[in-house]
Amino acid sequence: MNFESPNLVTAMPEIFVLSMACIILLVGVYQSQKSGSLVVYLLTQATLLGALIITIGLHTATPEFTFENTYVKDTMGDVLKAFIYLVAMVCLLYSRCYLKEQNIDRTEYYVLVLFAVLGMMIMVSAHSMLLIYLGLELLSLCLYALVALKRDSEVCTEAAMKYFVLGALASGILLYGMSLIYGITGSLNILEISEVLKMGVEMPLVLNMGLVFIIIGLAFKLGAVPFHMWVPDVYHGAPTSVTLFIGTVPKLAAFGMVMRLLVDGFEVVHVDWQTMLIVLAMLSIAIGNVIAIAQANLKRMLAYSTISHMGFLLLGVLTGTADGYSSAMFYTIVYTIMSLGAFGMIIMLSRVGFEADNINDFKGLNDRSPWLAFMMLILMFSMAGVPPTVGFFAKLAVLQSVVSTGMIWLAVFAVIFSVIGAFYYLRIIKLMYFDTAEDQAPIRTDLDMRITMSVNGVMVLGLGLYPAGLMALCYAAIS
Amino acid sequence: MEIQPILFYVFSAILVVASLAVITVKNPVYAAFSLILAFFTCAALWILLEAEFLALTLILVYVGAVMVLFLFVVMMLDINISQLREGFARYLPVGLIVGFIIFAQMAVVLGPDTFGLDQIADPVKHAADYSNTKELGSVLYTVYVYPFEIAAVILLVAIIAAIALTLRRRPNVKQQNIDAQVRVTKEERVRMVKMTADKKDEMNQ
Amino acid sequence: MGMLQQYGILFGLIIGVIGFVLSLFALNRAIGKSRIELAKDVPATAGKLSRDPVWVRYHARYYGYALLFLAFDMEMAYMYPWAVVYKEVGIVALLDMGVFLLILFLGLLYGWSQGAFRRQ
Repeated sequence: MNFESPNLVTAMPEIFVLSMACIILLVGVYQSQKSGSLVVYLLTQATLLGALIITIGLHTATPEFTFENTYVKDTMGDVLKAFIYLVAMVCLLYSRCYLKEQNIDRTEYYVLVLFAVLGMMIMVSAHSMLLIYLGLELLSLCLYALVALKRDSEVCTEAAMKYFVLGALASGILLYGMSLIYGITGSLNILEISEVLKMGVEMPLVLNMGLVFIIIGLAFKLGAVPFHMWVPDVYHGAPTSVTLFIGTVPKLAAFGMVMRLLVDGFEVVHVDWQTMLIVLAMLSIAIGNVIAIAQANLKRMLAYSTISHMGFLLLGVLTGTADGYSSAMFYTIVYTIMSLGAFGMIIMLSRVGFEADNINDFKGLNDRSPWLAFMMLILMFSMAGVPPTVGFFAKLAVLQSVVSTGMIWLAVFAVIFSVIGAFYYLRIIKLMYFDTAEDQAPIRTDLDMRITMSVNGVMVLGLGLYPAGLMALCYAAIS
Repeated sequence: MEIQPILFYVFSAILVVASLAVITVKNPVYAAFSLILAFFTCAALWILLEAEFLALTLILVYVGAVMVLFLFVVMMLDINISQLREGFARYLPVGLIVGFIIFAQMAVVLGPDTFGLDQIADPVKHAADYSNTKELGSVLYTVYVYPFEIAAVILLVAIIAAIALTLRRRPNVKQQNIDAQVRVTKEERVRMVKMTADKKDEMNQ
Repeated sequence: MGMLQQYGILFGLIIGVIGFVLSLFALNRAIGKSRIELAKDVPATAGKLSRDPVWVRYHARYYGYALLFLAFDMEMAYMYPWAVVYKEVGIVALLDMGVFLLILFLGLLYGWSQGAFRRQ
């Protein structure tokens, strides 16, 4: 047996994050109670920043493989990783005050976030089904624990329980699909699988069954209808800072996972999975948008809106063209930026013992803080897909790629339900500007949060005016 | 007549019966024990497949540790079984239909037409001194080193999560502090008291 | 000696062992005295029927220990093949297992600092 020793430099970002997470665990555990979690918080941010620098520094145009071709470092992986770090950093910025108020400002929180980031990094640069599964499990385990971390709250524990049971079921289904694929191709390596599939499949029935199981597993993790039942409950039940995290960063990793499995691995049998994704995407867009209208809780409403956004992500992927993939990637990145702002706003308006997660809490926000109301206006417009915000261009890019593959009816369907969905975003704007405030409590004034929120809102508008840069990045990442 | 097919059918029959017992018996402890039986017969089947190491790991990890956890939960929770079973009759038809469809699909897809001996050749039989463990080890720590280390990270996260979520420190527990006991000095324990000595003859008076 | 005969001997041994155990029970039944009464199987405390359900025996607190045991049990499972191939793979195996144990050791340190291993 000849064993090629792995090139550890290629995997430097993962090694760095892992080492730092371990160091932070030790620092946090053995520091005095007085200095609190500030050191841990700063170290976590520094780790993410360091990983960002390493990833960008090590970036090469040609893909590199290591660990027996199971680890790949290519442009798509690097871009996704860079956004994973950035979005995680903003998540932590938003959550800092909230964590203190909710009494979950513990070292474990930051360490689990870092390990979740590590899991996502593993997922986006995995080129083996085994690694995709392990990365996914690492991510999910951290998320289950994060949801349950506020353990005296019954709502959180219940949400964690639901998330865990359904997540474990989904992982089992995904694993079963993977084992079937392994059974017919004889390999776990994504590249080898695609080579075998190119030569022609001897057992199409087994391949389809494996594919069905894998797609069910992916749909569970993405939260696409009809495998979406956990999304609203978990978003609603989890502490808002955790919802912020779950609602944003893992979507980037999930996109990476979909690309690695379906595109890198099964692009040859594109016809087979396209139909399944069409059904998932249509159901997600329709049900997500319609049920969101009935929600009075903003976290639940955003959960259903996430479901519809995941439908759009799938729309881009199912086209099977490079245009479609890059538009889906653009959509995913834009979606994470928008929902960062939206969930961040809930945290912004919350205070000790009060969660601003009811839509009525946004009544008359314009009188209380015109600037924050304006930011929320931009975010809601962007989510609804109103020009000139970036949400419009994201939807446009996906729809263009769908139309160019000749599925005009699908694009029309998506547009109709987006228009229906615009209602509940606009309702928030109506509440903010045309209703009088019931709640006159002062809004938090932490400078770092205000600056981040402003940057976040302005970015949504700015990217809408100049989408070319990010779009070009996504194109470069796919091709 | 070969002995392996006989053993296979015997173990498979036990496995099916045990698995059915897991979901049908009323007492959760019996269900857990049936699951142990199912694991054991499964391990026996794996040994027939020459996967000795995995079979032993199955027994070690699942029977030894996971089942202990299951029994723990069963023993800890004050479950009202009749309440748990209330929905059983209501959901039974749906469950049966779904189960039957899944079974039928799997039978069609995974049946002998695709994975039969005429489709996929009999695996090579290994010599008596062939070590399954050795084969696993020789790739696990070289080719699969990356997944192997990730497994360690997953275990670490599991430990952190388990402690962070279940451990509650009870402030008013009386317990020995052995460190403090060992480190104690004689000054802390023995107090030298100066007393005026009483005279003996005075006491006798 | 053929395969079948070898298994035959094994089968005979199993039957023999089971028969031996059963015969012990039979012997006990034959020479020992015992009275079978219904009330003997009922959980009772101080002559009365138990007031509380008898299932609850462990405190939920011990669940944490069980979970920790599971994590370290898994670690042990990885050690077996390592011990078998250690000599052949050499320094690479040593490093691999070193990193693996180091990562898990952090979990131990964390648990220790939190007082998870203290009896309370």
